[in-house]
Amino acid sequence: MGCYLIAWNMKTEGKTVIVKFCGGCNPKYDRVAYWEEIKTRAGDAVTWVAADFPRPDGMLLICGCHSVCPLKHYNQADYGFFILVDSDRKSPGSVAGSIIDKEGT
Amino acid sequence: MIKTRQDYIDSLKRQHLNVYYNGERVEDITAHPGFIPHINAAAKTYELALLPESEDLLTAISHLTGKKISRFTHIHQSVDDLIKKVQMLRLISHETGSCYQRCVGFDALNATYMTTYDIDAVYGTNYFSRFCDFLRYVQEENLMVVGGMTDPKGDRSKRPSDQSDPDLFTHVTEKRSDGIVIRGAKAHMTGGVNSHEILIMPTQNMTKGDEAYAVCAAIPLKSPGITLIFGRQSNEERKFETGIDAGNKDYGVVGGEALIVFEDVFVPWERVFMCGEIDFTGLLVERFATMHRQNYGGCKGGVSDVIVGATALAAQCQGTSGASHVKDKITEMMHLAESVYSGSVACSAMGSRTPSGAYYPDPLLANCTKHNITRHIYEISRLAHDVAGGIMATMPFDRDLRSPEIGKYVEKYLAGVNGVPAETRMKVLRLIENMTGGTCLVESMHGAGPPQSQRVMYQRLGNLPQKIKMAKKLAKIDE
Repeated sequence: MGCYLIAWNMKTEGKTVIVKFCGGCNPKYDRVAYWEEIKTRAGDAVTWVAADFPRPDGMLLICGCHSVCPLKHYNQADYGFFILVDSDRKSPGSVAGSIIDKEGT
Repeated sequence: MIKTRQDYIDSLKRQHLNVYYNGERVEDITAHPGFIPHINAAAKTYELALLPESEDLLTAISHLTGKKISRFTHIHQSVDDLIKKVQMLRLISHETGSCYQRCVGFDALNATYMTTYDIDAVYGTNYFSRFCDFLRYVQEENLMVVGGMTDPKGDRSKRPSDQSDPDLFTHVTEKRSDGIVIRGAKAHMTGGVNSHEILIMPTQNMTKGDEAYAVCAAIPLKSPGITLIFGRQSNEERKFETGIDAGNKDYGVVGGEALIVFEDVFVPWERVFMCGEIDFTGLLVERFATMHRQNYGGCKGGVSDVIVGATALAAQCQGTSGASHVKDKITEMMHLAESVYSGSVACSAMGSRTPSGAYYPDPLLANCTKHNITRHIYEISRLAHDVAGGIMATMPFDRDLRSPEIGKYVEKYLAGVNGVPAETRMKVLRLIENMTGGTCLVESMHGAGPPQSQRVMYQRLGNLPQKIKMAKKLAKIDE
């Protein structure tokens, strides 16, 4: 699982999006399975990149509950778009659609 | 630097510690069934730090170097760090269902950091900078450190210096120009055999005459003169089997404790962080104890989540999950698990900054948290036993299930509801048995100190005079 993000110096296709997770102390749904589904739905339209990727188009923060602990560590204005997921109420497909529809920087 | 699970295991192989198991010297602990589950559990702390979905809790940024480090080597820089510690413990418990051992050293590092700073402020010593050098090394190499507090103590009614055998409390036997020599032992050392360093601390408040016992120092476990004797556990022989009877075969029961003996062990001055300052022993002990008691709602809360899940699963296997009393018992178990977790979060949220800059949980609430563990984990386990049924304790062996002669009977008479084979039912019942009996319960009682040590803290920190004053005011009692 640790190698599924593309490093900053690799060639990318599609929209570049950083994905970050909360720590997962007691998640209310399976965050990784949820993201895997987003990844499948987004297909080639999105390239998932590591956190140090320069000037990504956007960021997806996946949290296990409504506490969204890591949110305070991110300045949303630093990203072309910033999508926060704190439950599985929305389907992964609709989140993937939102990412694809967002305007990047 | 240790990054991966394999790095960690390789580092243990290289150490060749002087470890004994059941009377025999063990050359390679990583290949010995008695130790493998405990090594697996500690290795999980390295594995999870590399996963995107858990790194937010398992890692931190070092305030010394600015580098990303394991949280287990971090000094708490905020209330947020204190809370993340508890969240991290719950998360890892979900993965192991057992103790992963690194919190003890984590707490020892934090307690020593805070206290060396305070000692220097009074005595003008340089313990703090020495300790920061050691801490930097631990962070850079990502080492596992034993928190070495509990001495054997011999006759509890006597002070350390009054014992008939002076070694019953770890002490300095010689001060040399290049360092000190220590002798004694530390008992119940969690993760002792599969760690790299031990950070010894005084076991209790020391008074005049006990100066030789007021010692805090970091010692590589491979140092000459150190012997580690592994402790027995309930059902430990099941670790040597290959079937399902171990219950939690990969991660075992509790942390794997050892008696660590120091036979004239030399420690250079750069690794000595207290030597004779009796007036700071109580503070160091209290800080370590508070931070260790802070943990228990996190780790035991997480372990309890697994017990709740296993109990509900057993009820499903046996066709009792629809019974109202079973639902109620499982609800009660969840209530107790969340209650202990709440205590850990609360003492963290009410934490404060120490003069060193490191953050410290609220000691009264932390003690209250651990005190609840000595009760609630027993109650959670009692309810698990109630729902699981007596079969949990009387089931045949795994080998009976696999026997060509009698396996058919075990299959037939241990089967659960339609579609649930005997093996499935046996697996979940063995997991419950493993997680709720024997050594696990005693660990909940005595780990981080027995209940009486927490009650003493209520007397000290509970502010009873203020409570009496409140009552007098409302009752309109003037005197």
